[in-house]
Order: sequence, then structure tokens, then C-alpha cells
Amino acid sequence: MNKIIIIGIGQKFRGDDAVGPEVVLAWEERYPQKAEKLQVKISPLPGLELLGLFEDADTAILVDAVQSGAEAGTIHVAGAEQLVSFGAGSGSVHGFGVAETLALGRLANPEAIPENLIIIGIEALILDVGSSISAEVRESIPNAVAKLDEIVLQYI
Amino acid sequence: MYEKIQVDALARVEGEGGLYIALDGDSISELRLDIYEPPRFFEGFLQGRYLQEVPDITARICGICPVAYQMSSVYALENAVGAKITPSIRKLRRLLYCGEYIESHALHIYMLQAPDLLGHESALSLAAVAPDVVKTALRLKKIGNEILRTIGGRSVHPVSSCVGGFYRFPKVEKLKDLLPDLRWGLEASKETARWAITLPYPEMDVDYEFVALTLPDEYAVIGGDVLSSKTGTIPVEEFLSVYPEKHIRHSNALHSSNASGDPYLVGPLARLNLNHEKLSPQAKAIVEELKLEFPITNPYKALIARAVELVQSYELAIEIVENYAPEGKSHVELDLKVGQGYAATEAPRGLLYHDYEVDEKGFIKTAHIIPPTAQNLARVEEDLRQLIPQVIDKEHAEATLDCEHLIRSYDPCISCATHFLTLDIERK
Repeated sequence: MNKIIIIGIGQKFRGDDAVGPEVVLAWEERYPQKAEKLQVKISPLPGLELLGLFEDADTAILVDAVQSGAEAGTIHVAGAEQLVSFGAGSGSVHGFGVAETLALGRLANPEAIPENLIIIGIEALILDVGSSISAEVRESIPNAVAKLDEIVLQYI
Repeated sequence: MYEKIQVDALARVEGEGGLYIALDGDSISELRLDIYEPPRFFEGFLQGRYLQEVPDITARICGICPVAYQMSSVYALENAVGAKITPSIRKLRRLLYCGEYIESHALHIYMLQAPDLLGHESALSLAAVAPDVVKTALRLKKIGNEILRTIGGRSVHPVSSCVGGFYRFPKVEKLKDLLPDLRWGLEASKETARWAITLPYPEMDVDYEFVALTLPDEYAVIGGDVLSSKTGTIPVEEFLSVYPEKHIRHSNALHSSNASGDPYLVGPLARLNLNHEKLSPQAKAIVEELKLEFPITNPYKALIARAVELVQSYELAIEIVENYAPEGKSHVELDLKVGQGYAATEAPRGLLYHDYEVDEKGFIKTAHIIPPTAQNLARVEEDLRQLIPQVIDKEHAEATLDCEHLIRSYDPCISCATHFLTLDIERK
């Protein structure tokens, strides 16, 4: 059976960075029976530890805020190889970005990376410390939940 | 002629700050390490908190060295109320600290400084040519995380420590499960040290005042007196009077200096230079095998000191886990009373001092935290002054990179003090 893990990435109180966990938790609440069949994790700031979160999953779905210059709230779906285009690196290795970490994992430890890796990126507007999720991004949460469910159905 | 060189972000340094250098011909007219994010006010918002909240709050100061903040705070608060912990508690604290050293040092050696020395833009480009090196790094670091997770409940900001000990002792078998990985890590860290010695380090020789904790019969990380290579030892209670902090106009982080106003160095080089004779046997054997001569006075070679401490941390972790058989309660009862307490422990980046004043019910009246990065800021500025004449004739991008490399060799976790770094050089 296909082992699936969903990881919501992002910090609370850091504006739209909180949207990844929000979407994952909203999906879990809406589809508890599906959620039981797979693993759901929330990771505020995984850094290099992201590589340890996959365990032996065949499919990992990451939900994270991204910045690509698109309109706030835009939902992107990408494979790991496309993630670099979001420029998601954090510029600080202590806080390794998701794209950087996945690239590093693929080079140094490819067996730790699930066969299927899908990233749902929600375009962020505000990432300031102390801010809450912006109205634009909040509005997109139902669509992101639907998108997440659509992807789960493809792999479950 | 006027030229301004600006780099908007100094990558691979935790936190945010800036370096400004003004050159007038060949001489440096001004050099300052700017810290421009507001201070974090931890000392302020600890006031009025119950002392048992302090370890979990101070752990939040840093995501890389939360254990250091917890350990300095619990020891200072135990000192304030006169609590004496048991040997079992101390050993487990020491093991927790090993986990933090392993995690932090593996990250800095392989992911932060080695790419600089080897001419790589990042760990990512290093991984492209040397995937096995980065794979080793990831595993070495992960084992440190596992120690933290096993003792602390989670791998970042562990939650098990309290004033008086631990909320509970981890299960013996859980800790013993770590042994195969720890044994692999010990050998891998010896290889790390052998590899570290072969890296191309820029030449630099600085007459440092090294400052680190010292204990009579162990490589000091927890407790001990404060030892200076120039002025000898003082008890930790006198730390602030001998190494006062001062506000610097350009920085939100306080700068420390010795009593004469001169900068001093804390961190792995200071520790190793002052305490190498007290290393554990296999770490000492590596020092001999590599024919290290002390004192090491090249700041870039802090990487070698970190590698030796990585061996030491794995070796000590194995010893503690093999003999782990907790006795007595996991925390001692506190007899709350009015008091003032002081403590320092050695964070991976250097000496971390805390003092607290508590009232009769155990609430914090005042708190004082002096992180290692803030202590080293003035020292980094002085080292940059020494470096600038050597890089002044280089292309500006290259000169900038050279400055970045020197700053990064300190592993400045500027978020410990405040946040972020940009590099700005002005030539007149």
C-alpha cells in the first residue's frame, strides 16, 4: 500500500507562513476518515530535519507558503524539481529552506526522499514576525484544502 | 574617488545584521558590525515569571542552542535558591548538551564553514561534488537531534528540563537504543577531524585573550570558574564586573569587553586552547594524531576545534549512555527563598552567562543573559580590521566574500543577540 505523509510547514505569528499548517489541519478536520489512513505532520521550521520527517513514505505532500511573485493566495502545485523556481531558500543555513533541503537530500541522501513528492505552495503576501494570515491568503484556504484533497485522492 | 560596495544579505549566518567598513585609502576609518533588529527583550519579559517557566522561555532565544539557554538558566536559578542536583541529573544534562554540540558543530563544520574553505557557494554545491561528505554531515547532525529528542521530548526547544533536574528521566532502553548510532558517530567524527586538518585555511594569527569555563578534572561545559588566557580565573559571580557589557551606538546587541576595554574571544578555540589537556581519551588521541599545537590562534581554525569537540561529544555521550542508570528522583525539591543566582555554561558558540534575582515565592525580579555571540562581536570587529588590509586590493566581490568567510568562521548566531547581517564597504 502506498504510504502517504502530509506535512504542513510554517510558523504561526509569521504572517502567511502559517498557511501551510492551517490548510493541513483544515483538511484533517474535514476528512477525518481519510486522515486516519495516512500520516499528518505539522512542522513549523523543519530545516534540515525535513529529510527525517519522511520516514519511509512513498508519497509526501508538503503544504507551504511560497513567494514566486504571483498574486497572493495563488495555489501552486509542483514536483520537488520545480520548487527552486519559488526561490524558497531562506538565505540562512541554520534555517535551511525547503527547496535547498530537498535538493541537498536528493544529492546526498536520495534514499531518504519519497518516490512521489508534491508541493502545494500558497503564494504569501505578508511574512512579518507578529502578523497573522493576510485576508487574501485566508480566502484561498478552502481552495487549497480542496487541492490537497484532490492530490490525496490521486495517491491514496 | 568614492566607491560603495553593498551586499544585501550575508548568507549562512543565523540572524540578521550588517557589517559596515569605511576605507580611507588603505586605512580603515570606520568599521562596525551593525545589529539593527530590535533586541529581543527576553530579560525584560522574564521579570515577574515563575522560575520554572524560565528554562522553556530562554530556550526560545535560539533554535540552534536551546539547551545552552536552558542549562545556564537552570543552574543560575538553582544557585539562586540553593538547590543541589544529584550526579544522575548532572550526567543527563551533560548528555543533553552533547546532543546540542553534535548538532550545532556538525552543521557549522560541514554546512557553513567547509563550503567557504573549499570555495563552494553553499552546502548544496558541495553536495553536488562530494555527496558522501554531506551525507555524513546529515547523519552526524541527525544523531545529535535524536539525543535531544530522546531526553528532551523533541529535537528543537526540548521541554524536559526544569529547575532542579528533569520532569522525568528517559527510559534506559530508549537511551541505549542510541548506542549503535553514537558509535558510528564517534568514528565518523574522528574522520571529520582528520579531514578538517586537510582543509585550506587562510593565514591569520591573532593575539587573543581566550575566555572559557574551566574545571579541575573535565573539559568544562557545565559549571566551573571563568578562565582567561591573560588574567587567570575568576568565579562566575564576578563575570560581569570583569567582562562588562556596553551599549554601542550602532548595535542593538550589547558588546562585551574585558576590564581594560579590550575584546576577548569565547567559543571552541578558546575552550580547546585552554582546556585541551582535559579532553576525553579518544579526543585527546585525535589531537595527538593530528599533531595540533596550542594555542591555535587562527580564527578560521575554529573548525578544527569544533571537530575535536565533536569527537569529545560523541565519546562522552557513549560513556554516559553506557553507564546510564538513573538514581533518585528526576528533580530535587526546591526550597524557595529570596536569592541571587549566577551560572555559566559553554554553549557551542561560547560562554553563556545568566544571572537572576528571585523573590521569596520564586518569581523573577531581574534577569541578565550574556550570549556568546554578543561577547565575540567586538572581537570579530578587531579581526576584520586585521583582515581588511589583505583584501583591500581585491575585486570588491572577492573582498566581500573574504569578510564573510571570516565572520562565518565564528559561527555567529546573531539571533542569540538579535538578527541578520548585510555587508557594506565604503571606499573613499
